[in-house]
Amino acid sequence: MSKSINKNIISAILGFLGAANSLVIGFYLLSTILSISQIQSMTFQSAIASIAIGVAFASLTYGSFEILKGNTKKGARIDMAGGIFSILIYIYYSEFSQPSFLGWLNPIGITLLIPPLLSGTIGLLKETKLELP
Amino acid sequence: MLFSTVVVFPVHAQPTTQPWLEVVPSPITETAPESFDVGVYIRGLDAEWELIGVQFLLTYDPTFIEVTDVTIGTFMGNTSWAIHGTFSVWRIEEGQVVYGELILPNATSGEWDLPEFPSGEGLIAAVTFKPISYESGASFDISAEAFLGQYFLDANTDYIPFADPQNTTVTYGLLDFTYQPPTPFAGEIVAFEATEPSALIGNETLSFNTVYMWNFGDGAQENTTDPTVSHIYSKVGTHDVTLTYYFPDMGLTITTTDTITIRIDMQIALGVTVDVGSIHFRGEVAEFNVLTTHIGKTVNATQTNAVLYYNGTELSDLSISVQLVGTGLYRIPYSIPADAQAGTYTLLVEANYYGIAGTTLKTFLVSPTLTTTVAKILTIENGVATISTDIQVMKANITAINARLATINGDIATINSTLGTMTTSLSNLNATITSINGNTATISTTLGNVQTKLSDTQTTATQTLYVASILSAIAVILAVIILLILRKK
Repeated sequence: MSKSINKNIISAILGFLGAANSLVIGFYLLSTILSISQIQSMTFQSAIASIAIGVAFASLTYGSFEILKGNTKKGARIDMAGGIFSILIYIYYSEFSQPSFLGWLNPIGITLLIPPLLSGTIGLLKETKLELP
Repeated sequence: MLFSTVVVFPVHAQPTTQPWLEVVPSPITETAPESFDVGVYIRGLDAEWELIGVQFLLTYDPTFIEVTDVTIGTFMGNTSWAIHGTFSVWRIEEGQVVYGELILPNATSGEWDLPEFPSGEGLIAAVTFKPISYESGASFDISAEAFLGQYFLDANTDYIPFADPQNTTVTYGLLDFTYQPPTPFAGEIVAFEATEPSALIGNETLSFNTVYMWNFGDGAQENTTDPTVSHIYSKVGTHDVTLTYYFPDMGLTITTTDTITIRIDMQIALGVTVDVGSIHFRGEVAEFNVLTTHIGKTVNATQTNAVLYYNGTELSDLSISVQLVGTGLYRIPYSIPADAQAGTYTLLVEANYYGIAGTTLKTFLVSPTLTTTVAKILTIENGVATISTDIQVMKANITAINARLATINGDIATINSTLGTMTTSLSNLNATITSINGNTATISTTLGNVQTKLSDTQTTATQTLYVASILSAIAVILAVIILLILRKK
């Protein structure tokens, strides 16, 4: 097995892990919003969370499959974008939503966001090395 | 011009008596339409005067009456002398009627070859009047005055001297009313009687169609066609009674006013009814109601005192808290202190109404806690909670009852207080979630903050989030290590 294949596998695994993490975050957000809905209606928040998590999960999953199929550069960019989008979701529900849903999870919650970013980084680094003379 | 004004002295011997005119009203039998006739009669006529013509000017006050018709009388046209017929003419002007009548001569010879000349007395003409206005006590004459200086003409076309006419006077009756008794008590029947509008015309009396519109000065009104009416006053004091006479045939209204003083019967006590409820609680905003009545009708007392007693001693003078909310109806709000003694309280109410007094007392219980297991707060407004229990709905100050939020289950909040435990909907507490920590939410309400555990599903999600974080950290570390190993190879 070549070095590039190994790195593709690692990148894809990290991408899938990032997708799973986005699902976990979404599960938490929706269950929390549902639990407090009797006290405080948050229809808008639940809609935003559903859409954002769906987008993040889809992009990370798709990017990871692309990496596995050998489209490393494309997959890595998609994973990177998905990772950045996940960070934006996290920051919104941690710092800006009222009440704060994820603020309590800091700083350990950051570890949920690293895999997709690392997935994209690995994919892009590998592409760069192959181009060296 | 009907007759010449040239005076020619008669050549024949003059009778000793002179004729004269007399204005006589006809008997009045009908009141609708309101009208009356006045006859102009000739009296004391001697045949030797050889009278062949009569003229008169009838004057009246056009402010009050108007002429509707003129009828030729029977005297001049009597066939004993008017064998060739008569000629009559009249003109109606404002305030006067000019009338003239001539016995016609022989058309061939131009001579008054009458079998006899008129004599005696009789009706020259009748004039019908209609009243157009009314003034209490007004008076005026209907007069037969000389027209161009003379009344009568003889066969030689000379004027016949005459005696003074006898006129008639029209006098309107006074419009007023009386009542009995002169100084009635409240609750006593007062009989009012209006004078009936009338006009005395000579010796004849004319009545008017009249509607009597009474305003008794206490808010009550009554319209009748009967001049007598009765009314009962419930309020003591002076009232302005107004009677408006309405004359539908003339479209006229005339108003007269008098005052009546209603006294109070000191033998009839003032009714005082008090409602205090049966049981109240510490911190409750209780409300007592007082009703004052006199002779079965609510009246505003001139003075109302309310004193609250407990255990035989005066606890609080609530007189300044008495509020009038309607005629004779008062409310007395009273905030029962949070440290009020449990037991029986007595409210004594004294009221005074123009010198007569009424007193009553009521008791109620103050309980330290709610005697019910189902107590719900319906609303909270301005710090006062409306509480529904098995036996009543009451109000209590949430500070006085030391209401505190205990737990929240779903949208139902449980509240502890000095009255006991109550429940209410979170919507009544203005609940907002201030923070979320894992599976615990901090909720802020008007009754304080409380932390509550969210649902079991949410707890699972929280645990999953922890696990995922740890797994991610491990995965990242492993990935970095593998990458480093691959790099060395």
